[in-house]
Amino acid sequence: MMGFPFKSFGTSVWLGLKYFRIAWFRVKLGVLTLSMVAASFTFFTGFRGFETSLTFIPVSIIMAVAFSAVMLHLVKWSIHDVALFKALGANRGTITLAVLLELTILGLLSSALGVTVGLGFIFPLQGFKVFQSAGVLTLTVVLFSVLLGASVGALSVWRESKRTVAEILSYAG
Amino acid sequence: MPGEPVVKLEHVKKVYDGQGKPSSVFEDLNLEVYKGEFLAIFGPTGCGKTTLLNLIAGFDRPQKGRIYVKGVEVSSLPESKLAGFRRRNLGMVFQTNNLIPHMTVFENVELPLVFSGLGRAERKQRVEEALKAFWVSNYADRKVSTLSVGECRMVSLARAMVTDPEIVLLDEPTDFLDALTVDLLLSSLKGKLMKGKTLIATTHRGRLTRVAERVIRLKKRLP
Ligand SMILES: Nc1ncnc2c1ncn2[C@@H]1O[C@H](COP(=O)(O)OP(=O)(O)O)[C@@H](O)[C@H]1O
Ligand SMILES: [Mg+2]
Repeated sequence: MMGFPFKSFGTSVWLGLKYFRIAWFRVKLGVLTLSMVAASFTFFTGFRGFETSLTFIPVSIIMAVAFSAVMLHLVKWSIHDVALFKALGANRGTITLAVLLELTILGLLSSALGVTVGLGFIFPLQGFKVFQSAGVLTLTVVLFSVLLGASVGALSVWRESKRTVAEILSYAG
Repeated sequence: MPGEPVVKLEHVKKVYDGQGKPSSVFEDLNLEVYKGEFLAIFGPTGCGKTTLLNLIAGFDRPQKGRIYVKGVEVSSLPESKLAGFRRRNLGMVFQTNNLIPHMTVFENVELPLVFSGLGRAERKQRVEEALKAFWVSNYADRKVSTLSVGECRMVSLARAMVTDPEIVLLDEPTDFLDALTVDLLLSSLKGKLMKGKTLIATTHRGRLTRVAERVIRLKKRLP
């Protein structure tokens, strides 16, 4: 199956970056919500001993699910454009890869911002102990959430884009 | 008309399911369009002009019948092959333009070339030519959202032509344009710009039908 043509990688990068810039309202919404989630997560894991406690597991899962939900919501906004790109001759793979890139960049920026803000809130409470407790594990979960969310969003675009152009446009408005 | 048809519809049936209340648009449509022809599809709103173009472009599929474009049966071509087929052969002007409002005029017109994998320098040259051909060079760096409806239509035409496609589908191309611009547009569609191209344009007004080489009339099916 040649459904995911990596030869069009350059096209995807172009589209991902351009799209990232043009869908500015979406980026704002994404950065706002994702960084809030990441900030809360960092805040909680910053408490002493949190990372090594059992509570860390469900909180991490909530973090990952929240990232996926937000990113899934964001790609719903762009489904009309997906149909247009198809109509103008873009392959499904090209579009999906562009969305994956866009969401990854968005996720990384938002979580960097969120983690910084979260640390800012927990620091006055915990002092330098923060950096002993909220460490590698927290960052791993954040990174994992970004990649999971981006993959979930891209997968949804991959599935949606299987429909005909008319079908997508008729319910995307 | 000489030669093989570039577009051919055989016994096409198209019914929209319309939430449990099916509405039939075509029961048995047959049509042949020849290379280099300028065909107008004329008929009242709701008679199925957009539906017909959608079927030819492979945006939609018929319930019955076959649709061939350049000998390829698009009505049964898998979705994965359709994108490439359109990219190489078709240009499209949508009834509602479908430009991306937050992108500049240049970027919108550039989009099909990006999907074709053309290099930056060649894209720039081709986009500039297309913008010039439709009198919108001055707007290259403007956001589409700041243009008038008529200007959007010109950008939309430039985007359809920028890949130099063999077949161009135009859905109500003369809508939103003043009489003078319509004349300009029609003469340029007919003129040297379109040499060798096959044009299929829909319209619900008379103007375009006087310029086209052949006119087919669609009637609205009564429910
Ligand atoms: N997605 C759809 N679902 C149900 N009915 C549709 C849909 N699209 C078009 N129709 C109906 O099919 C008929 C033909 O539509 P259309 O091709 O858009 O006409 P035209 O372009 O000639 O104005 C109309 O009666 C319209 O309401
Ligand atoms: Mg129409």
